[in-house]
Amino acid sequence: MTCAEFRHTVYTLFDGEAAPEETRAVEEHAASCASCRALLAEIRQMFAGMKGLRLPEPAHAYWGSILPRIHEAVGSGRRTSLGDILVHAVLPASATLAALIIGMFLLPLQHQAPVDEISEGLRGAQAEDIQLLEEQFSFTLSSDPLSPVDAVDLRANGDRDQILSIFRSSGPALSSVEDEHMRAFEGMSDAELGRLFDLADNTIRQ
Amino acid sequence: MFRAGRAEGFNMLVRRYQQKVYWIARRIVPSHEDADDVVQDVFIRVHDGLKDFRAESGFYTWVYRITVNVALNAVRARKVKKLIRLDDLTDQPFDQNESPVDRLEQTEYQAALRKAIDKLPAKQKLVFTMRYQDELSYEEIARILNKSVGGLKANYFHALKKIQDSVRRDIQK
Repeated sequence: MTCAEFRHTVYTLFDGEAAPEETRAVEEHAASCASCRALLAEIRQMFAGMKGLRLPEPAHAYWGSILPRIHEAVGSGRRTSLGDILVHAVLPASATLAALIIGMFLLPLQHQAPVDEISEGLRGAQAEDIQLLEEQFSFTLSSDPLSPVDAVDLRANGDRDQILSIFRSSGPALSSVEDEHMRAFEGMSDAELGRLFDLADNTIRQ
Repeated sequence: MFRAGRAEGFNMLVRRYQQKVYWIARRIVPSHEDADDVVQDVFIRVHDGLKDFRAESGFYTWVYRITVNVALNAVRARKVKKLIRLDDLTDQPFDQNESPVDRLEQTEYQAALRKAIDKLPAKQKLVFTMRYQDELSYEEIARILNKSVGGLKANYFHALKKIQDSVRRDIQK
């Protein structure tokens, strides 16, 4: 490796982008070239220094103040009506509910499920006996990343009407959707999301 | 119950993403107050845009893109401040084993770093923030900014080089 190649490559070491052979070549060159060794040390110092820079955290109470002010802003004329708010908000509710259903019925959450599989699962969940739904809940809850409190709540509300109520209201259950569910949802394409929204919306409406 | 469920969906969305949106904004705009304005604006836009949401990638990418656009617009609209105030950056606590000389050098070094980052051109700083501070992949940044991965890498490495050169000049003064 030449000094020019070293200068071209050295930053990738700190970016997780360098191939093992590039890393080795950079280190070998640095070992044999004093000026490049100094440059490498300088870059190391720079990254170490940047780790020490941070912005101040806002007060803890700040996070709780955001949502009420958004509602206030939306309700004070920046939105045309509360009805619009609710109509627009159905999408995240539906999508999240769908993600929850995916998590419970269909997915190893780390990968993306084909939308046909998702829709089949949703249709099946509606068509089959509610006992299956309860079984799925019980089975899933034992290994799902729902918090223990949420899991207990769902089990306590485990009769068919209440489980359906949880599905339809998208209330308590949604608050327990974990990042893995959201990631599965986020990993979907536009087309898949659109179809999923429709399916979840229909599921909630029934 | 259904309507309440819809509203709760949006509420959950805000609660889930508010900190991410805040920190994206905060690294672009100069103050907490500016970042707060951006957060409010972003979620109102998200709210208004949900019915037309057809993001080509994931929801977070969509929200991130909105946040970047709103924050950059806020900076452009004000035209009075740099992207971030140097004074807003605080240092990590010092190592108790460091000597006073070490501490002084550390302070000077970090001041030079802050200044260097602050001086980056807006687009380079944005890419630097997204890559280094938010740890997004180049592919994610490319989706958000509609740029090529190759161009983003060049931007990022140029930013690093500029920071390094600037710090070196400052330290040598």
